[in-house]
Amino acid sequence: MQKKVTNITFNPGFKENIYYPEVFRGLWITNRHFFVNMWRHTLNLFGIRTKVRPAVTYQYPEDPRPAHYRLRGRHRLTEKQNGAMRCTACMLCETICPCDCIHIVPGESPDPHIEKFPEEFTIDLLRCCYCGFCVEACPVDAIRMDVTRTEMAGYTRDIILTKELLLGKVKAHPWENWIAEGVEEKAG
Amino acid sequence: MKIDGMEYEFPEGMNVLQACESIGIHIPHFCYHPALKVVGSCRMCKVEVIQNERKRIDISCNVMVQDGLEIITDSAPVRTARRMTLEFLLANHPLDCPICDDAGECELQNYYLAYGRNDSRMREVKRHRRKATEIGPSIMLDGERCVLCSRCARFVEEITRTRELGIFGMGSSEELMVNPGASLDNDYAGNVVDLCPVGALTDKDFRFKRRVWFLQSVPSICQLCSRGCNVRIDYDINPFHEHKRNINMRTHRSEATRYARIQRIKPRVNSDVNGYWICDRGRYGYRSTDAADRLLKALVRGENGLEESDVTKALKQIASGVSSAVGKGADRVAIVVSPRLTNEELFAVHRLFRERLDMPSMDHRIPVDPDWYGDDLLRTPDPFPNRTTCEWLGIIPADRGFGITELPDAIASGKVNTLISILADPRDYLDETAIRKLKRRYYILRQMPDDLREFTDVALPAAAWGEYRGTFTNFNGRLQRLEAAFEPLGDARPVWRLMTDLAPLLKKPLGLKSFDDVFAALTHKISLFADFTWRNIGDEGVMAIRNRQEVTA
Ligand code: SF4
Ligand code: SF4
Ligand code: SF4
Ligand code: SF4
Ligand code: FES
Repeated sequence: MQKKVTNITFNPGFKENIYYPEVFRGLWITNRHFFVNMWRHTLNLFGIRTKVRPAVTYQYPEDPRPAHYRLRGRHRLTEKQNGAMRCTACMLCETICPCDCIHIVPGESPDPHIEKFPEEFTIDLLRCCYCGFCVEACPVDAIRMDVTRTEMAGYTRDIILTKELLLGKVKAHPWENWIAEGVEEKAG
Repeated sequence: MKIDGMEYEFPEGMNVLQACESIGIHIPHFCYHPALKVVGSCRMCKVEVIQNERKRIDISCNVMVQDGLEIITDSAPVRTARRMTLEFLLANHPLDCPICDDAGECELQNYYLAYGRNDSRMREVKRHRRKATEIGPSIMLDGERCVLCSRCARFVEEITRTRELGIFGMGSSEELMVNPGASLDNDYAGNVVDLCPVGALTDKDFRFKRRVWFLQSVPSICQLCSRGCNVRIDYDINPFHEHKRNINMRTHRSEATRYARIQRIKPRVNSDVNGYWICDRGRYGYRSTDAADRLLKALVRGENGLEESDVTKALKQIASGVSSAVGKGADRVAIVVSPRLTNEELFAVHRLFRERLDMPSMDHRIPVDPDWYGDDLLRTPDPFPNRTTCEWLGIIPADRGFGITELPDAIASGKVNTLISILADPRDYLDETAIRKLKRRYYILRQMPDDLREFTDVALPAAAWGEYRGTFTNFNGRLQRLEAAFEPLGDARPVWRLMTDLAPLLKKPLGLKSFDDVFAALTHKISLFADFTWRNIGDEGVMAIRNRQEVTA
């Protein structure tokens, strides 16, 4: 295959060469925001013009920002009233998942009234694009994505949610455990 | 006669359903099956029949084609009739699709999409039946899902004549069950799963393994007997699985089969070979491909016993061993070739060792497993798929050469000191003292049992069934094609590739670079194959001879 090479030459003209005015314009914008917001905060403090809201800084993570109620966070598997998993391992979520990140190993359930259940249910979270299709596809409302679970950083490339993690049987709060020990040991 | 306003001609004795299928109009049906007698119990195949100016709705599987008949396959009354039939069939049907193995290839699901009503009018409680009942070593029955088409019962009645299944009860308590005390355990039991249009009969082997829509398939040929039944390999290599499987392969190999690539084997229809069926041996005999003891790397005996090495190094070792043995006489090397090899592989082996190196001691007649038996339906008495080509190529001992039966004596007297065993475990035809006495023991194997290691000097990994392309010639002289489903595991490669790599090291290059070269050279070599190309063999194979008497090499 032939490679296509395009040469781009950039010849700064007079307008680009005198960039000092732009530097000062930037400083002017920053300062305007600062003083306008300070002015509004001061007015709000005295109960004046409370309808105009000044910019706010959230003290994350101690003071998390409120999320929209339809935000799609980390997955959770739901349970029936008797504590059994709702999931029947129909694999519709695995089918619809555009990122190939759900992996289910179905098996014969120990409960004679239930035929099929997932022996393993793993989500490779780093592949997930949070589209929420799995939640839509599930015929028995077994998988949900929670608004509050948005913290998913870690120092590992194997952020793999296992069945126990998804069911909440293992408590693994991201800040405390994932970074410190890695998910796998927690899930183990 | 007329179908949907067009005039057609059909041969006598065809029913209307067959006639419509033959011109590409699909008529929904459950109970009709081309290989079984017509019972007309499902009533799904209704069409409008106009005969003698009178119109009626009738089941197309039970109306024979005849002059002056007019058929309307799709009209408002037909659709209503089908919808009502379907509603009755679904009245007591459980909502099992999420856990039913048949979902995705279920006729009931397909027809429901075409003719179903989306709300249920069922006020009564659904009738419950036995679920998940084991009715044989490989078959599960779910009574609630059955639509009582009786295909399975007719199969065991008409084809296998074992009569394990029957329909009991009357009216809405009718139920399919195995006869009291019986178990569905005949050699062809797996076929009822393919016959069942719904998920009532499912395969225990495939139970919950994979949803069918994840599977990919390639046409292949069963390699477990000389019938060469046409099969389809359903496999699954989703990248996530592959990743998982590799992890598992590394850590605990014994679990590797859980992430096997071949998920199941299904028959392909070929009326000249296997009809609609395959035997259970062929259906469940696919595990060797992903078995835990697959040989994935070449093994070479070094100072610390058998060590893994790369294939080139192993081939070099074989080449030097063979040349020094041949220096003292070409008959000192015995070559045992299993008739499990494809035509192309046999040809490459033959070309290198017989034509180029002129080795007389070459044989394919390894003993047949005493547990194998033939029957008069499909299974032949010979469990090797490709003996015919071995005979046509002449993979038998030449003058001064030793065959398998003479091999123990020849080894004992020191006339043979090198053994090359291709896809055959040497312990099948030699006793341990004889193998120990050999100076060089070179194997090309797919699976490496641990207890063979002490008898090995070099072992090369060969590609397993499903991993190579090739052709087999069945007992009747029919040339049939196998397609590769996936790449070989590890360093394994087809035997012809090992031969073309080995030949230059022995200073006898074969001049064959690709699979197509080998196939072309093969068709030149065997005059019976002269007219065939990879393409014109087709999915159903071609007869190379009319009867076996015409055989010439
Ligand atoms: S949210 Fe989307 S990408 Fe993530 S697991 Fe569900 S279906 Fe897959
Ligand atoms: S779609 Fe729902 S029931 Fe089906 S496998 Fe996924 S979580 Fe389980
Ligand atoms: S089990 Fe399947 S094949 Fe047998 S009668 Fe029922 S629906 Fe038909
Ligand atoms: S009859 Fe022979 S070729 Fe056919 S499926 Fe059985 S073993 Fe394979
Ligand atoms: S196919 Fe005609 S009645 Fe069942």
